[in-house]
Amino acid sequence: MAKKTKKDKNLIELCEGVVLCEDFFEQKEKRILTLLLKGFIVYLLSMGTIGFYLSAIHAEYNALLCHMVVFVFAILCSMLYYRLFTENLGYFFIFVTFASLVYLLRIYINSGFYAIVNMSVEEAAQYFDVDIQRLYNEQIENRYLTITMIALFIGIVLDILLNVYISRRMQYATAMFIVMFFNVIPLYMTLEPDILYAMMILVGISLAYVIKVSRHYSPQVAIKRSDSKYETRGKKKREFFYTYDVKALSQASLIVFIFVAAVVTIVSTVRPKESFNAGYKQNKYKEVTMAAVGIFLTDGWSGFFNYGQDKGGMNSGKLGTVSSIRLDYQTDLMIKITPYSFDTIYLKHFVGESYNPYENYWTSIRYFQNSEDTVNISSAEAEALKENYEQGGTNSAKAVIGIRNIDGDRNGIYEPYYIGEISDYNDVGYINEVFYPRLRGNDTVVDTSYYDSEPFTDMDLYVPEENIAAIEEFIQNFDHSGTDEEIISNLVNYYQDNIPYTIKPGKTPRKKDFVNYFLTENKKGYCAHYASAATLILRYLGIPTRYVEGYAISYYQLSDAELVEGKEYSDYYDGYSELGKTAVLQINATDADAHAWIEVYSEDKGWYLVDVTPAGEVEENEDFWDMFDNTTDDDAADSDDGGNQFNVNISDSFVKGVVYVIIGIIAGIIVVLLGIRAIAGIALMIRFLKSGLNDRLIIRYSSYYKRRSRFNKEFKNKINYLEQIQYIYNVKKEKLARKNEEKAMEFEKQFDIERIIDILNRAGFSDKEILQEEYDYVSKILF
Amino acid sequence: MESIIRIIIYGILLFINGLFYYFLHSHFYFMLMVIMIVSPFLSIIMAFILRRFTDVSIISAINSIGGEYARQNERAYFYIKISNPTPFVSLDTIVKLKIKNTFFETEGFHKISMPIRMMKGSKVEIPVLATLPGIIELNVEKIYIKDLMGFVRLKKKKTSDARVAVMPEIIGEYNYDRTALEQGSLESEESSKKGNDFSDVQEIREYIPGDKLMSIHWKLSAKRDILMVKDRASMSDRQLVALVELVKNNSNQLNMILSSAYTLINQIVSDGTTVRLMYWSESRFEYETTRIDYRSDLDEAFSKMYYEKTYIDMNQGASHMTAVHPEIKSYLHITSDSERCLLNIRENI
Repeated sequence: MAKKTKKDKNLIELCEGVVLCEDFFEQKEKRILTLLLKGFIVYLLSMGTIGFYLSAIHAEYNALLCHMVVFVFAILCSMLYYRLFTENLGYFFIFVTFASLVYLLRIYINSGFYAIVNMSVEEAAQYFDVDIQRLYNEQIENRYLTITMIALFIGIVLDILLNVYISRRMQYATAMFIVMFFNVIPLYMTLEPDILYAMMILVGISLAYVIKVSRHYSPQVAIKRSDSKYETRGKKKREFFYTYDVKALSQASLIVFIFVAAVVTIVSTVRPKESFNAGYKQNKYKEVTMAAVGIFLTDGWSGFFNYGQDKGGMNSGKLGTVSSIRLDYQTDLMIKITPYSFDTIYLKHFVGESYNPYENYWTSIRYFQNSEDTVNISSAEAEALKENYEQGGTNSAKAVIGIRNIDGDRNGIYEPYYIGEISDYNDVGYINEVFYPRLRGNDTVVDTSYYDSEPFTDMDLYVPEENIAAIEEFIQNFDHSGTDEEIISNLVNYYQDNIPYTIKPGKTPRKKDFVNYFLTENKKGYCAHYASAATLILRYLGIPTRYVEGYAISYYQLSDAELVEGKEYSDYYDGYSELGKTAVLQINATDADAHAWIEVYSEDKGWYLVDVTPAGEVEENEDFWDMFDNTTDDDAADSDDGGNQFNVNISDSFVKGVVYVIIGIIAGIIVVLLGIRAIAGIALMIRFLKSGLNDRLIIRYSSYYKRRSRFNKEFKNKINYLEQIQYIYNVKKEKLARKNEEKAMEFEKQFDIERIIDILNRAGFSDKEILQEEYDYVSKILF
Repeated sequence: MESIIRIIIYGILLFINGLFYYFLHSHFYFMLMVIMIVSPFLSIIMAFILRRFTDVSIISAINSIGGEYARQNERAYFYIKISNPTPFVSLDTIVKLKIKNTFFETEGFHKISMPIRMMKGSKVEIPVLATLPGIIELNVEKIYIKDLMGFVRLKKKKTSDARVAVMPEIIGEYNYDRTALEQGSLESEESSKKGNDFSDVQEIREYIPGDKLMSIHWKLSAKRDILMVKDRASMSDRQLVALVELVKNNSNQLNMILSSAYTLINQIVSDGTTVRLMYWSESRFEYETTRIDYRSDLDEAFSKMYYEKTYIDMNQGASHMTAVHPEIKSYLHITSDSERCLLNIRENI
C-alpha cells in the first residue's frame, strides 16, 4: 500500500476525516495534443482568412505551399505555450527570424501587397463602375510569386496573432473579428470565396467557440504550463475541473466539423454561391455606403474631407481645393419651361468678377443675398431684347421659366439669359422669371444707351499679376490675333485640341495657383478650369470677361422631361421658337447639371455667354461635382518622386484620416473600458442590493480596500484585517490630530479595532448574520 | 445565469451576423447564419440524448493493488464512471459528489467537472486518504450535462454510491502486562491452541467455504471423507474479552479508541491469543460479540462495528456488562476520556 508522502501536505479535505490526495492533480494528460489541436484551429483560421480573400478576388498563388507553411507555423506557434521558457524564447526567435526574412524579401512582399490591393481595386472598379486611376506600382511583375510571398507573410502574422487569442486566451470573438475584418471587403463587392476557405473559417470559429464555452482547456492552466488533468476552482476548493481531455476535444471537433461540412454542403447545393445574388436588389443602406466607398476608392481618405462648400452643385467660385462633394443626384431645382431651341439653357447663379490668385477663388460681382432682392434684376441686354420683342423684332421671343429651389444654394435666384423681370404668374412654390432669349437670327444690338453706367469696369479686365506670366506663356500656343470672336474661337479650339477634359485632374497643390497650375503644369481639367483660365486670358487680351457658375440644361435633358398637365403654352412662351409650339415641361436639375462658363462683352451683343469647356464634356463629365470630386494630391506627388512605389500619394487628408481613425479607436477603447467598468459597477451594485448584511459589509470593505490600495502601496501590503484596520486607524487618527485634537480623541474612543475585526470576521466567515447596528458602526468608522 | 448570459451574447452575435447578412447579402454570411441558427438546436438535442442514455456509477477500489479494506492514512481509490453509448460528446458535465464518513457522521459536498466522450464515456479516478477510520462513502445523486454550445445544463438524477471500510492505523506496539491479561483468559486460549477441547464446541457441522482451517475437525473429516468443522459458538469466561467503547465526544476520542483497540487486539492475536471482541450496540441495545483469531477477523469485526451508532458516555458499554454477561469475570475495557485512551482490565462485578 502507498504510504502518505510529502506530496500529501496540500491535501484538500473532502469531508472531516477524508482528504483528496495530491495524486488526483498529478494525473497527466497529453497537453501537447491539445496544443496541437489548438494549433490546427489557428491554421484553419489563418489559412482560411488568406484563402478567403485571395480566392474571392481570384488571385493565383501557390496555395499548397501556403497551406504547408501556415500549418507548420501555426503548430509551431501553439507549441510555444508548452513551457514558459519556450514561449519567451520562441517568440523572440520567431520575431528575429521573421523580421530578417521580411527585410530580405521586402520587395516581394511589397509587390505582393500592391498586387492584392491592385486586384482588389480592379474588382472594386468593376463593381462600382468607376474609373480608378490610382494603382500601386508593383516592382516585381510575377504576381504568382509575389502573391504567394504576401500570403505567406500574412499567414505567419495571422498565425502569431490568432495563436495568442486561440491557444492562450481563447477569445473566439476577437479571433472572429480579426478573421472577418478584411474579408468583409470582397463580400461587400459580392465576391464570394472558395467553399474550402469559407468552411475552414466556419469550422475554426465554431471550434474556438465550443472550446471557449466548455470552460476547460483554459488559459490559466496554459500559463501554469502544467500537464495536470485536473485543477481546483473556487476559494473553498470544492470544484474540481478537468483541464485537458484531448480525446473528448477531438471528438467534439469531429462533430463540429461534420456539422459545418454538412451545412456548407447543403446550403451550397440548395443555394449555390454563383446564383446566390441572382435577382437580388441591393438594400438601400448598402447603396448609401456605396457612394462613400466609391469616393474612397477614387479619392482615398481625402475624399471624405470637403474643402469647398457644398451648395447643391454650386461651388460659388471656390476652386481647386474642393475634393469630395458627393453627387447625390437629388433634385436641386425643379424647372418648368417650354423648349424653344436646341441650345443648352443656362441658369446663372454666381458671377465671378475678380480672381484671387493662390487663394483660388472668385469674388462675386453679383451674388444675390436673398431671393427677395429681385427688383433690379433686369440687365441692359434684357432691356434691348425686350424692346426688340415688343417691337416684333426678328426671332424675338418672351419666355417664362418657373424655378423652384429644392436643394440648391438659396443665396440668390437662378437667372436664365436674359432675365427681364419676375412674373406675377401664380404657380405656388415657383419663382416665375420672364426672360428674352437671344435666338439664332436675333441680331438685337445692345449699345451703351441701354446701360445705366459703363457696360463693364476695370475689374472685368483685371488680371492679377501672379497670373500674367503663365498667361503670356500660354497664349503663345494659339493665335490670339483678330477679332474678339476669332480670339475666343481660337482659344476654345485650342482647349479642345490640346487640353483634355478630365473629371480627375487632381487637387491643385498647396501654394499653387489654380489657373497657373492648369495652364502650365497640369494641362487638364474640368469646366471650372477652362472658364477661370479663359476669363483671365481674354481679359489679358483686352476682352471684358466674367466667370460664371450655374446650371446648364441641355436639349437632350429637355427631351426627357415630364409634360406638365394643365399649363398653357401661351403662359410660358410667346414669340419665335426654333422648335415650333411645344408644351410646358418640368425638368429636375441636379448636382450633375452644375456647370461653369464665361460671359464676354461685345459692343453689339453686350454681355453674352460663351461655354469654353471642350466638347466631350457631355460624354465624360455628366456632372459638375465629378470635376470637384477627384482630388489626387499632386502636391504630395511632387515631393514623392524619390522611389516611392505609390502612384497614390499620401496627402494631408490621409494623415488627417489616420489621425481621426486613431482618435476614433482611442475613443472607442475608452468607451469600451468605461462601459466595462460601468457594467462591473452595476453588477456589483446588484449583488450588493441582493446581499445580506454580511455580504454587504464584505463587498463594501473589498471595494474600499481595492480603492485605497490602488494608490497606497503601504496599505496594499497589509495582508490581514488586523494590519489593515490598524493602518486605517493610524492614518485617520494622525490626519484628525493635525486638524483638531478633540476630534482625534473622540475618534480614538470610537474606533474599536478589535470590534471592527470581529465584525468583519463574522461577516466574512460566519453563517450568522451581523447586526444592523454593527454594520452601521463599521460603515461609519471605516467608509 | 451562465447559460442566460451566453444566450444573450450569442443572440447579440447572431443579430450582428444578421445585420452583416442583410447588408452584404453574402453567401458566406448566409452559411454562417444557418450554422448559428441550427447549431444551438442540435447542440441541445445532443445534450438531451446524452441525458437519456448516459449512466453514472461510482465504484471503489481499496487501493491500487486491490484489497478488502482501506487503512487509515493510506490511499484508497474511487472511480466515477460515466458511460455513454451515443456518438455525442459533452465537454463540461458536472458530477455532484457527497462524501461521508458514516461512522464519524461527517460529510462534504464537491463537484467534479468531466467530459463525456462518445461511445465509451469517461472515468475519473479519485484517490482519497482517510485520516479517520470508519466507512467512507462517496455518493453521486445528480449530474449536470452541458451541451456543446453551452446553452443548457441538463440535470440527470442517478443515485450511485460506493463505500469502503477504513481500518484504524496501527499506532505502534503495546507492552501490555501479559500476566494481567492472562488472569481470565489463558485457559481458553490454551485449550483452543490444543484443538482438542470440546467444552465450548457447540456443534460439528460440514465445512462451509470461509471457515477457518483451525476449526476443521481433521479426525472426523478423515472418517467421513468430508470436511467437518467444530463450531465454537459458545464463549467461555476463559477467553480474553475486549470491550470497546464507541464513545464519540469528538472525532479524535473515537479515533484514539479505535486505533488503540485495533492495535492492541491485532498484537494479541498476532501473539496467538484469541480475543473475544465486544461492543455495545446502541441501536439494538445488546452486546455484539465477535471471536478474533486472526487479523482478518479483526478487520471484519471492525467493519461490522462501523455500522453502529456512537455514544457519548465513556462507560456505556461497561455499564451493562454485569447484567448481560455475568459469566464474564473480567475483561479488557478500551475507552477514552477525550484526552487519552484508557486500557484497563476490569472485574465484572
